[in-house]
Amino acid sequence: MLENDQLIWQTFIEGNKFSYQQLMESNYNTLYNYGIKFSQDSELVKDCIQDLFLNLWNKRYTLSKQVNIKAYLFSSLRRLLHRKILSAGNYKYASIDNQFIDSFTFHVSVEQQIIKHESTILVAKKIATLLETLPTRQKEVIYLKYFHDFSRDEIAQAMNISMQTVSNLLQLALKKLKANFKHNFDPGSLFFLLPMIVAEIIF
Amino acid sequence: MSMQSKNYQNYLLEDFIWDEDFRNWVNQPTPLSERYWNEWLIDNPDKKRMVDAAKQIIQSIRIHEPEINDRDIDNQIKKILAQTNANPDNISTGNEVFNEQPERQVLLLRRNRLSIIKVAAVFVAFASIGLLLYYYFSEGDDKLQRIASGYGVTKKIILPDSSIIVLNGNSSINYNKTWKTSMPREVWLNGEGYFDVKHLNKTNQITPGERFIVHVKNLNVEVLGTSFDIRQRRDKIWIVLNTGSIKVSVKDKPDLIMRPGDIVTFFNSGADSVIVSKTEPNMYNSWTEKKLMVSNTSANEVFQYLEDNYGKKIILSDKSIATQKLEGTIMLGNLNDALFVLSEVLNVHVINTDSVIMITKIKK
Repeated sequence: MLENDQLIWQTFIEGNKFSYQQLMESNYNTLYNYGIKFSQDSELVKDCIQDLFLNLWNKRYTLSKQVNIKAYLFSSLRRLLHRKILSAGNYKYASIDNQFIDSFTFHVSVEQQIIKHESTILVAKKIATLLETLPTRQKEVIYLKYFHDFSRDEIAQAMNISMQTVSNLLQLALKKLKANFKHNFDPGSLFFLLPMIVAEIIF
Repeated sequence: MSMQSKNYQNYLLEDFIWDEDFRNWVNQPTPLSERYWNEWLIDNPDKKRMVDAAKQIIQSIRIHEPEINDRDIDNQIKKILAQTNANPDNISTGNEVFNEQPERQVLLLRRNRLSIIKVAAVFVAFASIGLLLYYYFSEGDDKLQRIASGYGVTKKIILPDSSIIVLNGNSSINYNKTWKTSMPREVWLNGEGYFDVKHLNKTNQITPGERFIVHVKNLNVEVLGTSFDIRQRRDKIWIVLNTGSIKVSVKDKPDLIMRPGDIVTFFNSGADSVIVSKTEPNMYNSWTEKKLMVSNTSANEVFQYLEDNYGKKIILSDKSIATQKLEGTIMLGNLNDALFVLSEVLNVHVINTDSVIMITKIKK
């Protein structure tokens, strides 16, 4: 509940330790799931979350009341992870312009039992693959927007980019995800198209 | 919701899949979105197959989140808390995050806690405060207690000073497990509670430890020895005073002193309007005896009260049901009893399913 979170934050910045605990309890799982997409090293992610909350405790009296809590926590974790991964000397994740490369991955699965028609399953699987193969920043934007209901402003804050960049990334991602199946007469995907065409004719 | 302005008739499958409003309806339907989409489908039957397919695709696509079990999380949190206890004010992680948040260096003056001084000020002062904070946090139990009541259940709590709180359904309070006699007695409330506060003051002066403060959203209700009811639901807060006297303070507004029989209603969590009037206080705490007394109250309010307490969504088929006025006593032993009484009085059918309760008018 939104108002509840604000109350917890407010009492936390006044030094209430119970609110601090509640803040951790409400956010730990989500933060872990976010962090694990940057690094599959579970211990590293947990360490970063620990640092995040200890830092938060240290500066509780200096924090502002008007804070977008989840965007703030996400952006802090992201920065911490970035540093820790870099310092671990893992150059696969070397950064350019303060951004990660090749470092936001997740696996997408399709719950086939829910789907009635074979052709629909194929579409779902195609989308799953497209999601997994989006460029990293586009992937992250889609994840935050569609799977965590972040607003454009919140995404901008979490990823430390401008709102315009968020819009651009979103536009690019959606373009890929919506790659128009029906009109795509690329011979390579004809086999994939066939069941859909058949389904259209039958029904 | 800008659903009205969208051209859904021309949407393709993939447009539905990535449309926020459509997804919200699929993932978290509300009475409003249900009505909108069901009506839209009736008007656009040729799109039904596409909508069904889009729905199934949205529901079937899962991002794999590796399991971290609750125990693991609890352990991690305990670990973090332990470190804040050990060295409360200056924990070094070697990993200070550069923070772009609008941090303000604030002069915080708290009557019952310590003042924090500007960083530009003295290292020595900081060290001595650090020491004081250390003693404050290490002395005795710093454990905070949270007690919550389930839906439709009331809970009676005896506080460390023998004051009593009766919690209504779907409510919770937080308070320090042990209370120092030198500090005010403090409780944080969510939902509804009836308070019977022990009067401690024996002299003309009030010592800090004799003060009793209830925090609810951004209101502070301060009492000396009194019985009263605070109800915080949705965007309103009601406070009704039975006996004694209480002082209600909201930031940037003058304090409000209440007398027995006063009822104060705050809108929008105390930020906006306040209404002060007189009432029969027992009507507002009759729930402690498992009944709800109403007088010239709309059925809508009663249904909202039941929703808040029992946690089950109630849908009315007809607006005219909501506006009827009720007078009398409704037994609150359980939800079914309450609904039965209401169905008789309002002349409606009650359909109680697993997820919602539907109220429909009985056709003549």
